[in-house]
Amino acid sequence: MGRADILTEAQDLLLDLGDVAFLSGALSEVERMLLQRLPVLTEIRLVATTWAFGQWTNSTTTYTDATVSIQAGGPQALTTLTTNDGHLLGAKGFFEEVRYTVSVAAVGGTPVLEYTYWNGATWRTLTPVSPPTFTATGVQTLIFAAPDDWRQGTPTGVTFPANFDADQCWVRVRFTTAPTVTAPVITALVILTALYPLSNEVLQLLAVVYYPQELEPVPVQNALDLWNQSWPTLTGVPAYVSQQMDALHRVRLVPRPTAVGPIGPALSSGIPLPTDNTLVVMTVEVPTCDDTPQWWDGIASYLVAAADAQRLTEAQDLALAGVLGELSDDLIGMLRGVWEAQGMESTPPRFPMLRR
Amino acid sequence: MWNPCCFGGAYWGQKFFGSAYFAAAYFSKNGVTDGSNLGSPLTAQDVLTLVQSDLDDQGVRFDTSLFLRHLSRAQDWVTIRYQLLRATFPLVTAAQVPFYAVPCTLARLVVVTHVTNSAGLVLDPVGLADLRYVDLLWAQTAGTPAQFYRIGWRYLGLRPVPDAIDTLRVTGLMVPTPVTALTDVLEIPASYVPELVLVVSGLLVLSEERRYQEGLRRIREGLGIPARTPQPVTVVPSTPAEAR
Repeated sequence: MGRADILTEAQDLLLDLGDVAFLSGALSEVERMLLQRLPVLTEIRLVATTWAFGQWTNSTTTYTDATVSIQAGGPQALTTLTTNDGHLLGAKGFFEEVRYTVSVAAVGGTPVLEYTYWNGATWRTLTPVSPPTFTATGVQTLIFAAPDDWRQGTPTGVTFPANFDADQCWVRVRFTTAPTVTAPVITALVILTALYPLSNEVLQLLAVVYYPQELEPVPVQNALDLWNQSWPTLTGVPAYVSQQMDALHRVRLVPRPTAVGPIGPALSSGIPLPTDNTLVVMTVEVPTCDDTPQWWDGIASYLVAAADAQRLTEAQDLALAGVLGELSDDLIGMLRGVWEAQGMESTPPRFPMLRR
Repeated sequence: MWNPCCFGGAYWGQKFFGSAYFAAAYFSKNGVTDGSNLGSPLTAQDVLTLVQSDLDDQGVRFDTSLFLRHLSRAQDWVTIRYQLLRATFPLVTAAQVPFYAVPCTLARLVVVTHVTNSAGLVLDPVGLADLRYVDLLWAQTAGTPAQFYRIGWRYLGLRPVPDAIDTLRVTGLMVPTPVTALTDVLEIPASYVPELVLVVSGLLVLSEERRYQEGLRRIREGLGIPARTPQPVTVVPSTPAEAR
């Protein structure tokens, strides 16, 4: 079963007079509405809470990975003495704070830094709330607000090492005026990632586990603000999660984790093995492929046909739309009864569902 | 060879005397007398014959491929409504792995109903939202699974997390394989053919003849869904004077 079968069955009901383009276009919205009433199509995604750091060579647009070295405490230069060289910071989520432990300060000239982020198409200017000072040693902090159009992805035009997972949220720091004597060197780096993107097809969170502990779902205003107004700056092991389901689909972890958690190996269970600090996100999600239940396709075909009949003005078409709507209601009620009889909650209690 | 008039009488007989009359009339064709032998398996052709007999007087015409699609869908609804079809399949668990994608014919699965381990222990179903109230570390706490939870349609979790390899037996409510030829054998019991015929004929009347309300009525009758009664409009007086 799949999209083609849904459209074929819809055409059966429309005597093959349905608008093919309309039917195809309406299917996603129909499935979204259906999922709001039958929230049983779900996904389990594992998100690595890892980050990446590497040198940026502007002349060759090359990224040289130094993640393992800096995580082990090995000294790493933040740039060279060449103009527009610098470093890249990446993570599997959106970070808003980076802490550099500068062991060797930049010397010579007046270094000028440019901060940009990858929005999926180009590098855009990022304006720090609090920029670091690399002409001094000690912990220097870069703080900024995660831009709304920041996207996870592999930047085009950048050469990454072979087998390197470049599908991350990237910030590029370039020295547009490089130091003239000594490049700054760091011996430690912490990238605090609190926001993780969700697919636009996600309608609702079911549960979020910062492995091995499930996080408590909390709203921001009514819970986090009342609990501790400094919650955006807290670091530690996450205990809470809030969902953002407006134009941006994100989850926020509170406190911000400092540890990293890679994803374990793929398993025959169909789901990779979570390791400590891995994020496990379970969602109700509109299907994006043909992997839908057989019965789901049947109801979807009735709703798509009803939508096509509804947009016409003939009385007979409106009558068809009405009957198909009633039939769909009957079948949805029947299915909800089946699940509820099995004790399967039809509406998880904690996270609100996106409705639009 | 069926005489449509006899069959038509059997259909109306079912309406007045219940499905037993209908079933008896149909089974007599297959030589069934005491119900212990269900006779030859029903095929899509058998259902087509029944539907044509049922609708023949109304002159409904349709092609075979359309009929097979409606029959497949009608099978789905009847099977779900009366929970007619279940399948059991193995699920191999591994140590420290809490979640599993349900294997086998996913598209036909409606919901997992039972899970049993290799020792014959039946696991209790629990809600995903309830796990945190027992143990925040439910995704890691290991042991011999005694409970299972569904994560939507396609995923199962086990609590405690398995600490050893085991082969579970997972049973689920299923829908039948879609029929693609008139020679295909139906998977649902023959005793539910009356309901199936009602739903198939309802879909055909709804789609081909555009007799929408009649089609919906037939489908609801086949699925045992009561028709909706229009609610009377009650005018609430806004002032005591109006209430008098």
